[in-house]
Amino acid sequence: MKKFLFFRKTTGDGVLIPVESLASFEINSSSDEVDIKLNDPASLYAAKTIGLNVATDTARPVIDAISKAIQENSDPFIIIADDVDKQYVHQNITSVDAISL
Amino acid sequence: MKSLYINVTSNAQDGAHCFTLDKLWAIECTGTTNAVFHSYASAIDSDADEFTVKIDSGKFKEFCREYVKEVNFGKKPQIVVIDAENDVSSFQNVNTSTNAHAVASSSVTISTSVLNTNTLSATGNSTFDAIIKETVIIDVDSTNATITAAQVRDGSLLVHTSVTGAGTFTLPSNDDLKSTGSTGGQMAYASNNALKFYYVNDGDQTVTVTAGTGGTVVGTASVVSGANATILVVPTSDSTHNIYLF
Repeated sequence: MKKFLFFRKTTGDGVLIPVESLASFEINSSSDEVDIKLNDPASLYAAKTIGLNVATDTARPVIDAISKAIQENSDPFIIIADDVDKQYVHQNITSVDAISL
Repeated sequence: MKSLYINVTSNAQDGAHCFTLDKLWAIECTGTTNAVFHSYASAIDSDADEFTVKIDSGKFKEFCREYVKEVNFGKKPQIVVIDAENDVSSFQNVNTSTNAHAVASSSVTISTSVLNTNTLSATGNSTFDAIIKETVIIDVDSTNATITAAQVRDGSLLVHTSVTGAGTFTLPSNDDLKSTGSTGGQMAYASNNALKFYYVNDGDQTVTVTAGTGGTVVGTASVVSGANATILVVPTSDSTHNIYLF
């Protein structure tokens, strides 16, 4: 099964990525944001990032929740963060920060 | 192996793209009606690998659900994201009508010869807001004037400065008007098209309009000094026509 991750900041700003596009998770210095780096082979060093705002010092459980959803969800359409419908894969995600592709 | 087919223009299959699913690394919503497919089909990150598909307003999430379902459970090996040529898509939330009109705005220059003599046609989604017919002005300064079929264009303005004595204004022959004559004509005569143009007598003499071979002036043929006339040439057969002055 080919799984996809869904992020949405507004009705006009969102992204769907195949799980294979995931490259890494980076936690910022304030421990209140997780940057999801995308695996775009054509632009390895360019900024292809989806930022998630999280409650301070809760980034690790958020990353764990994303990994678990990818591993265990039977539905291939996985909502990681949707600010419009207020749906989040983990309760400590507060919003989508920015989608930079 | 499944692939994606994207053709966002209605111009046949020109510029269409098809690539395997593993070459897609993201679908981005860049506005309430835009779903941008990011691929690295050519292994170069460039605009050429980004394809914007029009979706129903605010339906990005619904479109994504459809996409994931089609990728995993669809039976067809080729997923038609948008085929603007035929206005079809595998997805309900893709706006086929908008994509069919997604060709960048452009301009078309229509030559004078097309405007005056030929048929302008277009296929697909075409709109002609207005076509302004070019008015060709022919100025003749002589007692008697004979104009060629090349000069008689639909909508032409013929200015005749009559001098010295009563003159004539002679029109081309039927053959010439049909484009088969030596001077080359200006109308599709056999298809029963009338030809209308304008005559101005700005001289000081009365002028009589005279038909060329195959033509017959019906009714009043004279135009007095300082008067104008609209001249209508109406085919009556392949070899004859009537001329009316109004």
